[in-house]
Amino acid sequence: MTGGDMTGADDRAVERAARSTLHWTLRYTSGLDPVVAADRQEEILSDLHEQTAWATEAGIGERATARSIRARMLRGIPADLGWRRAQLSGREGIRLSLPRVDGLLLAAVAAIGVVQVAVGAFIAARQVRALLIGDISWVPIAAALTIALGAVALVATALLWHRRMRPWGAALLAVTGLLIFAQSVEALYYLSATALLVINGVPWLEPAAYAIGTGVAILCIAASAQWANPARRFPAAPGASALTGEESR
Amino acid sequence: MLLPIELAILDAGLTIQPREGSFFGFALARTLAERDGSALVSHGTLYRALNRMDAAGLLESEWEAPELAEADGRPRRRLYRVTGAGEAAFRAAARTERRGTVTGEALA
Repeated sequence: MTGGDMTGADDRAVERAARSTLHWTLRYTSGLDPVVAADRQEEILSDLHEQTAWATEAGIGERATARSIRARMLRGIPADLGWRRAQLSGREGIRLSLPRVDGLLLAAVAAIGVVQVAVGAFIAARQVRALLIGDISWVPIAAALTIALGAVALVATALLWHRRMRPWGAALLAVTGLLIFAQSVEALYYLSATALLVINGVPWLEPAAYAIGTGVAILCIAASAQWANPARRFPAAPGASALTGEESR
Repeated sequence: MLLPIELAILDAGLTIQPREGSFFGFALARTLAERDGSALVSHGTLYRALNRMDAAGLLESEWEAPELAEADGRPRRRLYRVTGAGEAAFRAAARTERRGTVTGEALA
């Protein structure tokens, strides 16, 4: 690794970043065909050297170089893992097609939307029942919020059917999904005697509801990003093989 | 079908190749970043795409002679060239893109 005038901590920052990248390369190439693994390792080693040499020549600070090396490694992890899978299976390019992935994503997000609407409707029904039988004479904030979130989720789910509005629908479902599960647990605390017992006996229920909500939100945000910026493909010449794989940097 | 990264690699490769004869991974990464003012492409995406394009015959590659690298005091470079099939694929894709017949909307 050339370091030019690198000294001290800065020098070590580039070295550490390069070493991390090489460690990661050794890790994801382990167990592969030795020739394939060695080729990838040597190519990454060359890349790290070239980047460091170029950065030194261009007067780019060592810390910035180290950050760039780490960022390139981190951003490439999904592709590295996909490449490894393809090497192990020998099936690079025979994976789910983008339209199929898109369809599965739409089904998942729509299901999330339906569940959120159902949660909102359920809490609304419990609230009305509690008011009618006199169990409660007011509307807890958590119940009002859950019902409102359910209503927003209904609109968001409807937006999923319009191609152009789909990213917005998924983004809305991310927000409602983040909150609705935990809020519904809190609402049930006031609206259901059984739920009250369960909630008191299971202290991790609310954190679990937030964890589920976070997972749902992440999926919806990913879907929103995918639909807002769909990957483009260009037809190749007839002689070229049909290629599939990752679609972004 | 070519992915945008593959199209970009062919484009950059065809720019570097007449001047240098061939190109290597980091030179491509630098050219791509300079072209669109973005960050350097990740290792995983770049080398996976190069690997796939090599296997598909759009590129050909060979390791440079160790003596050359040793003389320069650096690791060996894997040198790539755009093949005839790669160039044809690039021209066809570029024509289609200009006509605007293929867009992401088609997949949505």
